[in-house]
Amino acid sequence: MTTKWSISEFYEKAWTLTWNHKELWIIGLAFLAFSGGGSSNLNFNGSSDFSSDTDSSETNMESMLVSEEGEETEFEKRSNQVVENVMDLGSQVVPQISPAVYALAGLEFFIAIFVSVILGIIISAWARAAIILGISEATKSERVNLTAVSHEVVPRIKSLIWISIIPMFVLAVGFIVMTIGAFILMAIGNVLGFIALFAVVLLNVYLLIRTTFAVIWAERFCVLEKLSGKDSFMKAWKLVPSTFSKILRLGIANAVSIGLLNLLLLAPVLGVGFASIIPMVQSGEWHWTGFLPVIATYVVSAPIMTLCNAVLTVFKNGTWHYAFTQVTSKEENV
Amino acid sequence: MKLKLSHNSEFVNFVPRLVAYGIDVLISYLPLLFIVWSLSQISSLEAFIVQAVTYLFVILVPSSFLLALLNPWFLSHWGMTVGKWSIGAEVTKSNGTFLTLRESIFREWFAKTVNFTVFGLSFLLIAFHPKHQSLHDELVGSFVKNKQSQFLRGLLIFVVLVAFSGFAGWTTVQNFSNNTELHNEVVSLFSYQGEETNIELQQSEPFTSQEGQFSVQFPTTPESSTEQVSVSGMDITYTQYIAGDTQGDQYLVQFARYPGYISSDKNDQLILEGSLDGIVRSTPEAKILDSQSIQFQGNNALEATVEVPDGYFKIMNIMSGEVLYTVMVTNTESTVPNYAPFIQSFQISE
Repeated sequence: MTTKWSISEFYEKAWTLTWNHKELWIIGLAFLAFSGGGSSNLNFNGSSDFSSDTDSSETNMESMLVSEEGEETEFEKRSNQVVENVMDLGSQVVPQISPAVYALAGLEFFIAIFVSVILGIIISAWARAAIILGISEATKSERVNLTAVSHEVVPRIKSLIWISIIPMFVLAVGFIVMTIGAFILMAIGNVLGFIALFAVVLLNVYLLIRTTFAVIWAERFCVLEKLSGKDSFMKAWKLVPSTFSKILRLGIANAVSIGLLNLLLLAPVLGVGFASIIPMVQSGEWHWTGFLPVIATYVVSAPIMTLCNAVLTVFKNGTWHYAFTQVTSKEENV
Repeated sequence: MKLKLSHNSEFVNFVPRLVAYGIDVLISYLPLLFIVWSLSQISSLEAFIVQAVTYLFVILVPSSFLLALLNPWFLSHWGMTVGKWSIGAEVTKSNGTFLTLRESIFREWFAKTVNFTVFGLSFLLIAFHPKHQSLHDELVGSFVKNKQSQFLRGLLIFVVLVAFSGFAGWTTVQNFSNNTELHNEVVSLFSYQGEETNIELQQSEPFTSQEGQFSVQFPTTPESSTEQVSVSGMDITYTQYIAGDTQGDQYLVQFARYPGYISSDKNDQLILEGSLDGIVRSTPEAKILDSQSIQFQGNNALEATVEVPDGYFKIMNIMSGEVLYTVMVTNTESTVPNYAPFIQSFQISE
């Protein structure tokens, strides 16, 4: 049992667990697929968004895009005409479609959104619960029975949904009410209004951070100690002040280390990308075949990157598991 | 992790499961196939869009919802989808009972998705697993068992479905490629017709040739000329009308009558290709960029874009009865934007 807070020890244990229990990678994949990595771990998660704005080179397209002052460019003329043609066609087509089709489309759209949101929330909660329980089981047994984990977490889904929605909802409602109050004070010319608004913002930043941190522990209380959503959250809420700096340190360590590893995974794609795009930028001659090497590298490396991300997801959740075990064992000892 | 190919006859291995999956997928694509085939026969863009939107919301979306629900329902009631039935397989839990509807939905909608996060490569694990389970089976606790080995039946159904889909797809592609009216409407929707060219074409009077039995809208009054050429010992008279616009682009219509010509797809193709070849050969450094056989006003036609040293020209050779028409427009751009309005104005009279 860990007795002191040691991130390096958490990392070592989490890695051993991740490597020895490869069956957990499947849950890691499920977590990536359904939870999108967007769990409550203060966004200290393994998946990173590396989408970046690329500067568009004007070089060869300059003549097409740039015009003399006040003149419509060739590109504008072309796009305007196409837009005009499409709009004309649209105005002719729209009235010809039966109103019943529009009604049906609206209904189908509503059902699709409703069903996908509901199912999305449920399956995301399942994935979070499965990874928490899976890791816990892995610390106790040689091989994790995925089917058992998958089934065992089903009763926890409702509570996990409560944890992920209700605290944030209450916080948002409280913020709106308090902000409206502060604005009313400001509107009637009371100087207290400004102070109140400032206080509301500060208070809400504090509450937001505390809630976010509390959710990390609450999910584990809910899954591992089988507490209700409310009880889990209240227990976690009380635990946050004494563990605040610990959560922050582990969260930052995870964000930095996993972020760097993700960057490393993307390196081949970025390398090939730069190598194939820079010559085109320099020569000003763009051709679709120039993008083929980067597309090919991406296609080959994408499954590997996804699998690595799944491994990192298990690893990251492993670190949180050991942190949670350490924190709660200390609590019990106290 | 050591990967070793496994064989356990109690459970269904990778290949039969792939066949079963293929059958389910092909069945789910049948409504889409029908819709696209049906749309390929519509020649007006407006009608095409109206029909496409209607099909989408009246047939495609509801059938997709239905099919998405059907497979889990089949699994929970009969332990098999159509694909699994075809190969004689049954999906059960470890205790031999069927999955519940909730478990089936989880298996079909979510657990299978996990495989696609690694681009479906994990399906290959079926071949290595001692009980031929994939990731989704492990998550749900499902086993695909050999109830009555019917791999050949499954394969036959799969082949029939592939052949049917392939034939329907090929017919659809043929329909689209012969649908000149729709093609031209789409092209003109996205092509840029220079303002002046437009105005010139729009303002000009339609030119009609009684002898050539056609009408077309030239930008200005065309100049005509005739030339006699000996083709296979027969004197053929080529009549040519040519006009230029203020941009310096040329518009040409040429016709030649082949007395006694017996029209057939094969003969038409020979003449159309021969004519294009002759035109390209007679133009120094000309290079064909693209060409396609199409139908134009119910006639066999060959359309091509040709690059020449000072620009491009787009050309269509049309065989109508015993008359060969050539319609051609030049431009400095490879899209030859002034071609679409010109060819649209070209009408062959009966």
